[in-house]
Amino acid sequence: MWTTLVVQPMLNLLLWIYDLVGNFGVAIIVFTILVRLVLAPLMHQQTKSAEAMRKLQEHPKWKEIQRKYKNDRERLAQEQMKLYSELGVNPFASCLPMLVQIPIIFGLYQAVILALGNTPAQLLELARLLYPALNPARLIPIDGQFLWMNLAYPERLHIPGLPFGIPVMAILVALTSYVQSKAVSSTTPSTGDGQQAQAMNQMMTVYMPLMLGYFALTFQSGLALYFLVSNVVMIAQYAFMGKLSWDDLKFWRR
Amino acid sequence: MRKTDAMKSFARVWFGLALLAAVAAAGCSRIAPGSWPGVGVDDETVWVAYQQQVHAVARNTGALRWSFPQEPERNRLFFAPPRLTADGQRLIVGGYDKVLYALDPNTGAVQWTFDRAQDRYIGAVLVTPNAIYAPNADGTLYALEPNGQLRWTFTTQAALWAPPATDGQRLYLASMDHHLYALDAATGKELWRLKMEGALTSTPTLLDGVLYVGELATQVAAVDAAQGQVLWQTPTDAWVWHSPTPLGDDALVVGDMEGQVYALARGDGQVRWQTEVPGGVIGAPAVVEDTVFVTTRQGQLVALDAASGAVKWTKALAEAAIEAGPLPVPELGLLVAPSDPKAPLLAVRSDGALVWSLTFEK
Repeated sequence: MWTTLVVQPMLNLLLWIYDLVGNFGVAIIVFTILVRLVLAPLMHQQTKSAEAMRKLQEHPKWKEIQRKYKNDRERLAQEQMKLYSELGVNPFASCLPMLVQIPIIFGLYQAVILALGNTPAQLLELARLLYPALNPARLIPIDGQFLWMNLAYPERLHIPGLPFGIPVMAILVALTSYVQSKAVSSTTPSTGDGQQAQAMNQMMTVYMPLMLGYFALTFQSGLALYFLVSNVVMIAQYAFMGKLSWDDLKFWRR
Repeated sequence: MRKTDAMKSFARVWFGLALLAAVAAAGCSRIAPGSWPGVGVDDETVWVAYQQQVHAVARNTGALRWSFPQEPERNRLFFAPPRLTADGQRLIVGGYDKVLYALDPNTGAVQWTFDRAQDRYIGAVLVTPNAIYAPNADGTLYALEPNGQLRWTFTTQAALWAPPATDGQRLYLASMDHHLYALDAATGKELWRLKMEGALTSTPTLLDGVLYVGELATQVAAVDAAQGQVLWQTPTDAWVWHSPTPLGDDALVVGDMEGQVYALARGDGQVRWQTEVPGGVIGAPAVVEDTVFVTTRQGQLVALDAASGAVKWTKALAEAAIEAGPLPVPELGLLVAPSDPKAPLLAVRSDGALVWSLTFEK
């Protein structure tokens, strides 16, 4: 069901773009931008909701109930819900768009991995999922060469004279993930304990880039390309919405 | 911030990251990593390469003689069928670790290795009395001396998944780049190339100066080996993954991945009979006397009448798919290699009765 409804259409769209542009790296870039554009209204909604939550947390009534019920978490939660209702703010409105994006992102991820399959068993799986209209016989095998990378393998840039390859994509993915995490955390409201939420945000801005950087280091570079393009598009979207502040990106700032 | 809050925050972040990683890993694990078992055989021994080891098994009893490496190693995978050199002194098998190994066929000890390829070895090597031709997924055919020294290379535009066919003077090489190549066997010089309709995953079948080729383009083609010209093309319902198998003196049999099995006239490609078997056919059919045997992706061995294509019997041999074709072995019957790590090799008689099976606990 997941494969039929999510992964298969994405895979075929990706390969349709590949058929049009003739380069799988370019196809991943175009595909990622398209998906991000489709998700843009959701992201806009998420940012707006986060902004509403931020304003609510500066409301005198909010501050008052935080102070009044700081030792009674159950009562505090009840009062917060009352205030949400009274001021017409939906606390989940900023989360739902993010949740909707998760299956799309994982579907995209699986589509990229499937398309780059380069063993007999993987090609059998790919063949099963291709729509006949695509003319799979013409497309197979997918040419995974893009710039200096073979997108079906982890990426390293080998420079003459250096005894090791430089993981350029992993570094770029980690850097852009950091910028993107910073942008997200600067728009994310703190719920509950303000310091606690702030600490969580800080940890996310450290661990998320490390984790995605590790994925980019060890998984197919096609996936790293997807992470990179996805991060860059999201950063551009935040910048376009005026939510990106260079001051926020200074890692030494608390 | 209180210490307990910090710890809770930390735990939540890690929980989120672990969840993300688990989903990502699940996404990866849905996709099969390799291929199906590769099988080689001589008068006394059967070799099967599957996943992390190559096993040598007594041909008549199925008793395990040795495994290479002795214990499974995480970074080594083997799927290419092992091949014995002409003098019987070395067993050649390529790995997914980009290394070609020459093993002692009696003990599994490494005699030499060749590690200059850039990618995996998916197909078997072609062994001739004075050379070893190793196709690699980096698109290059490596021609080696019997001692493992590189003689020449020939590179195509995409992966090579199958060894070339040879008439002794020339090599006929099928590439995933949709081309069929003829090369001088001594020098690797290209003699001709022919653009086909789809990717080629199997060795051309060379019979009386004609190459017969199954394509991932729903067709089988016949090509004049001297000039590289198409003689005929016969459409199939789905992709043909394997080499066409000779059927008598004037026909071929092939199966497609939708489960259609065809007997084709060698002269003009006309379909003599067509039979559907359950599940897809990936491996080459085997012909023994008046019976055509095919293995299916539903784990069955199907026996067809060679003259009419009528199903004689169907035997469920494995719960796993059987993608490798059956391998006829004189005085034994057939070797069948399910894609099942617990039972990757079975020997059956020509009536489908089990003779022995190679099984593993894990």
